Amino acid sequence: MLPVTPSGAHAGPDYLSLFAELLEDFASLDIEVSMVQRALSRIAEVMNAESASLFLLEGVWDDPQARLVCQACVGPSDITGLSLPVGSGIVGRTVQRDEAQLVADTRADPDFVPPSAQLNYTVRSIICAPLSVKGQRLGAVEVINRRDCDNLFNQRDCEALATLANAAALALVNARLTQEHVQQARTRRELELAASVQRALLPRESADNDYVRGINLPARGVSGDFFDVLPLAGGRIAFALADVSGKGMNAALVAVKAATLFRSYAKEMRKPGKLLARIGQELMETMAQGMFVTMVVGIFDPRGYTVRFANAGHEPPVWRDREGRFHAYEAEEPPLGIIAPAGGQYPETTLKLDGGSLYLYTDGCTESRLPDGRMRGAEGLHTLISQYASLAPAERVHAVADALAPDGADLRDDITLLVVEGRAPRRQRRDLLLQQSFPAEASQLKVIRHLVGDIAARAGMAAEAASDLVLAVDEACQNIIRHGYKGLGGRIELSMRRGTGRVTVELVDFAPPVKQDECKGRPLDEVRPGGLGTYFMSALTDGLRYLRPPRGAGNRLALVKKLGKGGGE
Amino acid sequence: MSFRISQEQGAATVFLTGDIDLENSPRARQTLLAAVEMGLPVVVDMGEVSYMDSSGIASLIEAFQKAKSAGREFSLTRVGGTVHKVLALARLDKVFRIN
Repeated sequence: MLPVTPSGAHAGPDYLSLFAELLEDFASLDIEVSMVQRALSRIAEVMNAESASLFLLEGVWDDPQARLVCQACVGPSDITGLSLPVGSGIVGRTVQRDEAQLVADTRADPDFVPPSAQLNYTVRSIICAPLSVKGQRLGAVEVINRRDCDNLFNQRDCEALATLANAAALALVNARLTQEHVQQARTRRELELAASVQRALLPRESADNDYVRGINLPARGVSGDFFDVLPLAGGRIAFALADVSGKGMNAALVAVKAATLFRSYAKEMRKPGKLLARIGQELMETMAQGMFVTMVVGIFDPRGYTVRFANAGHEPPVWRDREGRFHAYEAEEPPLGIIAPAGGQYPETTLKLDGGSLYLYTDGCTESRLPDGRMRGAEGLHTLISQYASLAPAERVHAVADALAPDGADLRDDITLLVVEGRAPRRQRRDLLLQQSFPAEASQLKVIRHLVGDIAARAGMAAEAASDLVLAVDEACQNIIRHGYKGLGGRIELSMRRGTGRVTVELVDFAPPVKQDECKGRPLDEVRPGGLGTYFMSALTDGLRYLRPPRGAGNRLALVKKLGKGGGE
Repeated sequence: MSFRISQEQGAATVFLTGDIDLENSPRARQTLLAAVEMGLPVVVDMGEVSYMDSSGIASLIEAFQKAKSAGREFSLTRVGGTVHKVLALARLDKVFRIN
């Protein structure tokens, strides 16, 4: 690393000790000006030089605008802050060539630019070494005028400085990386904090009521979607669902503001069209240019199941009527924050839900991906809604959201969904033992058998009767999987109820309705595969009935089994 | 993965295990038919079967009919209570030879 000391007469500066001392300093990760200053002092001292200075590149090397600026300096004249064009002087040449320069005598070097006369300082000899790591140029260290040897530096001094500069450059790169890392961590923490603050400010679960229920699954970090449900005096319920343009903190803050405005005005304003206009007006005054909010605001009156809503540029709310048909209501006005609506209020739609339900959702629901990678679209969402239509509103929004974002799915966008239910709540029955939805797949049968057997036993059913019921339910589910859905998949909704001395299992599917004469068992004296299932179902139970399916469903089958000997209540 | 077939004492013995339901009966069917193809009398060891439904029964019937039309013996052995009940329900306890 070091050149052999020339003729023994003058051993020269003790560079080894200097290296040991400074390298230790450079290993530290936070470089401060005081430390650089100290290092320069030591270099000047050991090299017996008049002055030493550190120049760092400001800007990108290829850019002619970039400058080399003196960051620290020791010596008779302070040049800290001196800014040189990258191509100029000895420092410029050092950085450009990325190679240490020895200018033993400045008078013989045409690139040398003397310092300005005001400094009153003669530069006789210079060594300058680049600070660079793998060609990435950071700057240079310059040492001026040796105090002895006629003020002239030699090759050995130059190589020693180059070695030190290499180590310093590495230390500098490390320090910058650490700083970046710290900065990134700080930004990330701030975002996490913002997300948790926002979550606390936005409603997650809707107020407990039988009619209007919503859900919001935020994508990672802060969310631009929200919904709110606000019970009003007299039994009416105000609701809102919105999507703020853009992502990140700005969108999150606007969402919080819009939600707050809705909360405070909804209590006193009876007309959704005016309420929406008022929120829009407030937002327009404070929102940044180019931001906008799509929002639906409505009021539901459970007497008469009437809903009145107004829409500012949001995805059309859809009404699923009692026959399972979907009707969309397109927005007539642009989103909030762009222009005030004509006549100072948004047009309202009044709808008698008549046993159906109104659904509001954000584009995260329709833009979610199906397992095959295709976008779900509005129709895909409608299919899901129909599948879960028989569930109570609160369970329904959860079931649909779960289906849109299976456990652990990394959401690309927030998923926000709200339902307004236009029929009386089903009385919560205390005799309900189980209500669960399963994928119509052979692999689910084991789970279903286990559940049914377990619950039947806990309901007091004798072991033999319970195993009969398990087999009967298994056969019924097989029929749905193989003949109903034809192996293409779907859902099976299973519920179990306790009656007097009996348990009833109900299976609801969404497959095409089965003609009942098609599911007669076959004559048993004929030995052939297939056709046994239906016979098992009736032979193993005390009652088998096809009931009128709920709206939107295909078939509904009830299997009754007595508790059997030793059972009963 | 299919069920195990072992060739011993001049017969092909199929060892069915676990739940022979809609999920597993395709494998049971495949193994049973493979055993019939071996050209030996077929014995189905039901000792480790914990559950069987109509799809499992259908696999047995199909293999039984293949064996019968090829003039080969087809019998069940070590039939537990649960499985026997299902066979009896399907009136197959009289059709299959059960050892």
